[in-house]
Amino acid sequence: VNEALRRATLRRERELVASLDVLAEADLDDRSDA
Amino acid sequence: VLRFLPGTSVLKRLGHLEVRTAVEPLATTGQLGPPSICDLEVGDLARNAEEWDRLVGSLNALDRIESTAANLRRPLQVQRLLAQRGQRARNFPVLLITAAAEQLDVAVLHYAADFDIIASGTAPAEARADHCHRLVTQRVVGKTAARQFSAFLSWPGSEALYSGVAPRQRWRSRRAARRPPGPERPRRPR
Repeated sequence: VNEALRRATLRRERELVASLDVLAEADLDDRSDA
Repeated sequence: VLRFLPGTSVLKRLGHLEVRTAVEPLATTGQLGPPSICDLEVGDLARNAEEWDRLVGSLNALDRIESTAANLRRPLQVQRLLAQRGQRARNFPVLLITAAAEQLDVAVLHYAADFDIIASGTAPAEARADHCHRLVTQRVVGKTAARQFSAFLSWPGSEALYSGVAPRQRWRSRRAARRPPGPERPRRPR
């Protein structure tokens, strides 16, 4: 059970980091002044 | 446990190392959840449908905070408070995000000067009057937020947005104020 939980946590972390990467790579800061 | 709501100003700056360093550990430990209004703001920056899907879809991985009816009522009160001080927030999402943060009793991570204006307009007087309504804002990087605020204020006539005077009227009156005191100079004949 612990191993399954650890894998699920790792998978969730990877998904989150990938999502942040998408936003970061889009350079949204350059598209508006706010 | 949720502790922070990120403003869209933070989500837009995830490409900056200092912002990413602050946000990533909070996001991966469930301490940070963007309000659903951020979807609209991020989606508004998309250049095409594919990018819209990618950007807004990426927000799905984060723990979304949905707006409630109270979140929609509170911005009106805050807007009235700011108007009383001759101020206004530049964009509505900022009011909605602060309302959600206030209701959840969490801090806002932000890079936008509007949050500071709202905090200064609501926190001291309101908190004394009603302890249930506490507004907390926290900058990711204070210096950058301050710099951005200065840059915004340097835009000609922009400070008038905060004083409740139409930019053009305000711009004229400032020019008049810079004129040295003394007798009216005679007009040059045409």
